Amino acid sequence: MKLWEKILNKIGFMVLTLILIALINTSLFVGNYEISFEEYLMFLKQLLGLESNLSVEKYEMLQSVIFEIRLPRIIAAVIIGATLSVSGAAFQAMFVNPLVSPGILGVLSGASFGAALGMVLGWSWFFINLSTFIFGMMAVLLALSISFIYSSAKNMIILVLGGIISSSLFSALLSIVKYTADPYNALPAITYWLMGSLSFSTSSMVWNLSIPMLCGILILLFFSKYLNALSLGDEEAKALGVDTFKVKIIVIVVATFISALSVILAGIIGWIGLIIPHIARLLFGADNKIILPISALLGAIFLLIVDNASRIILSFEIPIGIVTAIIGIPIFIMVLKNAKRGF
Amino acid sequence: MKRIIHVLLLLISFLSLSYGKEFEDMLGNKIDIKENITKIHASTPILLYSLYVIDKDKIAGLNFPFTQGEAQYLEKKIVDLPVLGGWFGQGRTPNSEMILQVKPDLILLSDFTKKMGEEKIKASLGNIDVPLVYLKSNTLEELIESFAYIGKLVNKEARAKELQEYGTNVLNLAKEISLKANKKPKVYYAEGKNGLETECDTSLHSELITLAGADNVHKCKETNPFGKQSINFEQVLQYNPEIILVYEKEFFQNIYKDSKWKYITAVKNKQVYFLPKGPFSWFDRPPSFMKLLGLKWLLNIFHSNLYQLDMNKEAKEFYRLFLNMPLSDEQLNEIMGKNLE
Amino acid sequence: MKLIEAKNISFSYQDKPILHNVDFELYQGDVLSLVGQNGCGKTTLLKILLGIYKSTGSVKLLSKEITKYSRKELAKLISYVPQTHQIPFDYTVFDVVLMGRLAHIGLFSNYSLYDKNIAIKCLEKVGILHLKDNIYSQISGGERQLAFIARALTQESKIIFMDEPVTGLDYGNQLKLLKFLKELCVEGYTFVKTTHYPDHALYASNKVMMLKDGKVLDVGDINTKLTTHNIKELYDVDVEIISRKNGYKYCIPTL
Repeated sequence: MKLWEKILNKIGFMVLTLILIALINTSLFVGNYEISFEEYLMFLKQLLGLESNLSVEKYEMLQSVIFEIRLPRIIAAVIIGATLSVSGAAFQAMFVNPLVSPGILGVLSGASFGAALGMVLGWSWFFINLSTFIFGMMAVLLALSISFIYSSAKNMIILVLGGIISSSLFSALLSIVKYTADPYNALPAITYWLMGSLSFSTSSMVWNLSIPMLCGILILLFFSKYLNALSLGDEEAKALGVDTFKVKIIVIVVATFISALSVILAGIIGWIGLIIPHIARLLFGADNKIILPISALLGAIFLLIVDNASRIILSFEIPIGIVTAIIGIPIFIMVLKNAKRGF
Repeated sequence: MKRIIHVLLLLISFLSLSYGKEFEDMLGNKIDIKENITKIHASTPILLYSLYVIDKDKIAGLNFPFTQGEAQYLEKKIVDLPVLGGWFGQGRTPNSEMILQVKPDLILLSDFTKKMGEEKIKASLGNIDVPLVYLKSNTLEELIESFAYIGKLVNKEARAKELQEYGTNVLNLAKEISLKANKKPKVYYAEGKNGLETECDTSLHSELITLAGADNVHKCKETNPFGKQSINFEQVLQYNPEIILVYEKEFFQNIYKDSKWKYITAVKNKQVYFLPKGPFSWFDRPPSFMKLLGLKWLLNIFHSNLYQLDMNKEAKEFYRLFLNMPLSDEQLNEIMGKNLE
Repeated sequence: MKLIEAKNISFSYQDKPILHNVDFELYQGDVLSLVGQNGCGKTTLLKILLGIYKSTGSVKLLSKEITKYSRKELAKLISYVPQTHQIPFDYTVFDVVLMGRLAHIGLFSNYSLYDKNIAIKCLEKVGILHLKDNIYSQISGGERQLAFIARALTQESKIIFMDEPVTGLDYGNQLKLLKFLKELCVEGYTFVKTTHYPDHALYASNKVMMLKDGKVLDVGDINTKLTTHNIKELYDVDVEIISRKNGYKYCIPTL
């Protein structure tokens, strides 16, 4: 490794964390509701307990805008960006395949179906969310079951095939649901939801779901050293002392769990789980112990920037799944071009 | 001699049977149609509903099944008709086999469908050999105009005229009041479960707001005819509307309890209204003749100083006239969402 | 001290029988060469003894059934230098060697300075410390083999299994490797290696086990058991085993 690469590894993590913190602060300040810089400063002043010229009503409104409207959304962007990126990185390491994303085992298809089903049947948000989660997990369970029947999950390719079958099944079910949906309300609601947006979730949902998502991310980070061994092959990993079956199951379950939660918060957001790990590898090498946390940070930063763009640029919301695709695809092409060193 | 008269008579009857009458549709096409039309397939919902109020017995089939909420206000015979499909942007395109089986005498299409191209339209209709009649009913004005055309097709011109007169009166009333009003209230049209979907002011979806002499706060040009633009709450805060019209029951029930909506002027002044619906919305989605009642209702809300209205009486009159059904007080309350407050 | 005792090992893979009633013993300090034709089951036997494959019969490590050990415990006792190297990612040599410490760290911990020092010591021992920051896939075949050995040493297991360790090495590197094994042996390591070269077996090991068609042809002291007769049985070729003055035996084909 060259010198700059070594330095980058050491300080990269710190730099990215600082960038993230700065970005969060800036995002609190910008939005469609105009807050002048003066007002923002006064607000901060009053927040810290000092006097300011703001009227009580104005202060309360700013509080509402910043803490109830913007902050939960920013937290959601950060957590979801991190979740999808870490899940993607973990799966790419486990399957030793650069084209793998968090949805490979079907969680996104299953969750989409669950949500659409709830919307068509007119359930309340609570049950729609429950349905999203349950079907997301079920889809992966189906993929695992299919692969167990054929080779007790020893062979990763069978697992991928199981995922493809499961995804296809739930996509088909989704189509059926969409077909029966009332074309004036339920169907457009489903279509829009499938394009992903951080405006769907309420602040209580964000606070409640971020804690388990954060725990899931941490678990995956602890498992990253085993992923290094796993990528050498099942047998070699076992010889190194890794309980490969346990590691695979835990990684799959945890990554699926947090991905399903992210779908509840914001619908389907694609491309991040696929691209961010590649960018991380491009900058920081291949060691999963480094790549997973870096992916989390990069993903958080990326999604936050993208979400800021989609909520501010126009007077209406651009579905975030569209923006991540538009930005993501050219980045992916560039990354592939530069991936001279294997992947 | 007898023979010649026979032949002449035969010829004349043949001619009258095969030529029927000539009809000019709203796009200026001249079409030959039968004298006695018994079955018409209206291929878009708005045309279907207009056909319903003019001569429901001529309906050949539905575009999509009626929901339970809609069915309770409609004649069961019609609700049970087969679904033939249609064009309304989101699936359930025409089922050509069903159409061939039902064999309507003509098909009503909206001018919007014409953009697809003659060939494709004919193909989706199973290349059925019946006249295709194009009607425009995008704006409320066009909708009223289309009544006359439909009336002519089914030989119920008197009925069509009755409805058309009602419509024209409402439009004129609206124009008059809008002119007199010295203030246009700022209105936000809240769609979606969280009230954060809306329509541009230039959109036909929110047409009634402008017709009733108010100002739609969301100013833009529609990016697609389907509408329903998602906006974020900060945008609404920036707009700070004086009146909010709510489509979804769930949102209407929760808006006063929501901690962030309370900063909006409309919420502070309790100027939040549920858009009545039954069988169809009085406002939009789906657009229909019921917008005429909605327009009256909005005129009263926006300009109560200029226009007073006994809603109960007006609604019952409207339902009797258009739907031929007696409206009970409970039904009206349910339609207007009074039970939600 | 008897380290491994395996009795009655039989194994089939997808209905194809590979091993029949194989018995196996390994004592501390042994360097046991496992020889036989291609496909006779050598690698399979190694993997069974490592606990990677499950077979019939019993395998006991330090008098305890191998199935009763956790993966981690097993890895602390036996390490494995495989024949093929599939490293899909651009790990550095140091990354690869450090993985040997996985058997020693807990779920919630990371490699400590102690772990890293051991890895460095082992890299030094095999002589490739200067390559530690190089990308693994970019070093030569011989160096890669040494890296794997360094990893096995880092694992601090007393038993090391090696599957055809000289594969891909040039002539010089082959001999250097064998010499290195003998040195390690003096330090107390126990080896089991599969090999295709009777010469290597004669030079570096003290015991030999010969497998033919999944059965044990013969097993025992290298000097007495690796005979021309056995080699003829195994490979169907004629050789002569000669002793030289320095005490070593060589295997020379008679053409």
